[in-house]
Amino acid sequence: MKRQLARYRFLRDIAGHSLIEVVVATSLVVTVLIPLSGLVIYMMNSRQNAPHLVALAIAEQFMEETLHERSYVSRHVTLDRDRWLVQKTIRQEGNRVIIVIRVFRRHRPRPLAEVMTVRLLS
Amino acid sequence: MIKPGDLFAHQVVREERGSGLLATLLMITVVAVLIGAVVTLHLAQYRFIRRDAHRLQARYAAEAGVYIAIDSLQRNPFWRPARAVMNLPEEQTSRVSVERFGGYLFIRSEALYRRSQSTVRALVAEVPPADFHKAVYLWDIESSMHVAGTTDITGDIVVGSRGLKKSAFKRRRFTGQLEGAVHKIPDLKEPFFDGHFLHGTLDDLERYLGGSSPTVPPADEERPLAKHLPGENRVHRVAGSLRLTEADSLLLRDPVTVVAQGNLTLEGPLHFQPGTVFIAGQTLSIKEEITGREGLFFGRRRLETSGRMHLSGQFFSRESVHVAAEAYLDYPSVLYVAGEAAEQGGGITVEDDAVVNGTLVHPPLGTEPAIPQGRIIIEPAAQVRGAVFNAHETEFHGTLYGALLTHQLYFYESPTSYVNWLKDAVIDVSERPIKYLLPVGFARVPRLAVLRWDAYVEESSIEARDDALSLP
Repeated sequence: MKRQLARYRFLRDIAGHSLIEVVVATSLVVTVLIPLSGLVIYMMNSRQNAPHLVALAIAEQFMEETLHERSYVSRHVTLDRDRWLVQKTIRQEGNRVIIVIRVFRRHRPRPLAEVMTVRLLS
Repeated sequence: MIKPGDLFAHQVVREERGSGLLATLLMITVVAVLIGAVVTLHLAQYRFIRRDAHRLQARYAAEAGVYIAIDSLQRNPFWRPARAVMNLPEEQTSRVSVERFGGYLFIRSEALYRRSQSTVRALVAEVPPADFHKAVYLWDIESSMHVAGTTDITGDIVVGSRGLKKSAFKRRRFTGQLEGAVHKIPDLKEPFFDGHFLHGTLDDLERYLGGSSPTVPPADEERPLAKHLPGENRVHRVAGSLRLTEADSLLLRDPVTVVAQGNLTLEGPLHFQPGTVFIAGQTLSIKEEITGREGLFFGRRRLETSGRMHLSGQFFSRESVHVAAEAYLDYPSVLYVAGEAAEQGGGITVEDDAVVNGTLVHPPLGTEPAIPQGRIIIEPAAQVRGAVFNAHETEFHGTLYGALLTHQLYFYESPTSYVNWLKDAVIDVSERPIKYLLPVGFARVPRLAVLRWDAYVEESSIEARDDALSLP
């Protein structure tokens, strides 16, 4: 009888107090951590991944515009677009026109996106 | 009776000692899992973005390969590389293959940037020279050109020193219109034409009938279209005649080359893939509901259509090509007849209610026969959009949105043969699409342009197995 009572108390203690406390505490932490981790992902993306994505889109847009306009006069220009610098290089080698677009984040030496293609003058 | 051990355990649990450790371990696990998930997600996204960037660069590099190949072909029209490494600017490379396909060229370019590969295939044709921007170019200088009936010409006309006359035909006055200048040129010469390219196509096709094909690789697994050149088609050869019907649709699921030593009949409904080649030693008949684009058809003796169909194809024959009513041939179609036999009553005929978008070519022969009989005949309700180039006689009664370049015009109305008369025809070069391109061989200094791009094939995570293409 006493052994049964002891087992009952043991279960009551674990289930009634300690375990519930652990579960509640964990839930609270998770509830806080999940939005927090979302925030961390957002911040990491906005600092690292998103700029690459935007730079790629800018590079593609500038390249397609250049190809569409067909203005293949040799030049090296740097365009200032808000926080972005777009470097457009067009050079002629005989009948070939080489077009290189590089997209930089302001104050950063390495380009975040770079594309090159070739077209013909005639 | 309670044992001392049980009592001790009971007391430990009651005092809740150790639950803090459990809670700490759980927290650490949860935090570690979350951090791991965040970092993994971030890295995965970063990899995707880098791969997109590499794919984009690989695609532009593949396109660059095509244009550099075009530049090389403009300097050397006989250049036919097979997976040749081309050095591109910015220390990039692409592998280029060039193959003749009927009157055009296929260029395939594969570029690898880091671990992303892009393959493009381009159908390349010739930019029309100045003569193809005239409405009519008639280089028979023996007689003047006569326009009669309701003939309506929009665009410049180039004729010999005898000039052009608006003439009454059987007492019916000329009621048509001429909009454009008439250029009278003494000693007018025929426009430039170099037949090597198109004759070479006939030779290639004959080689299949001779039992050998230029390049026949072993059966290959299914490959995307852009990775495939017609010379790499699987070849199906039949010693006698062959008839393909709807039941054979599976055969045409991929681009293939079908060779029949006798007659070859295609009976619809059938659909063929771009780059499919049909070759017949005798007559090639295309009947009813055949669809597809960029097919190459060769009937050594005769090539004929019958019934309704909508396709783009290049029709080659040594004797005659006959496009029947209700056929709609899409751009860039080519009808080409060349050979001694074509002069003995053969040629090209486009029947009433047929439409051809492309180019009709009947080239000069090395040695002209004494009495040339082969003609290009465009019937009254037929329509051609593109150009007609004929070094012989043209019977033109239909509608042409493009240029007519011919040695002579001809028709017979009892009891008279009319030479260099154009009656009840419509020719309007301004209605031709600006982007119209010719088969290769009409320009003294060829200028090539991309007629059609085929889908990009983009693959990622390719092992850098090819040293020539592996980039830093």
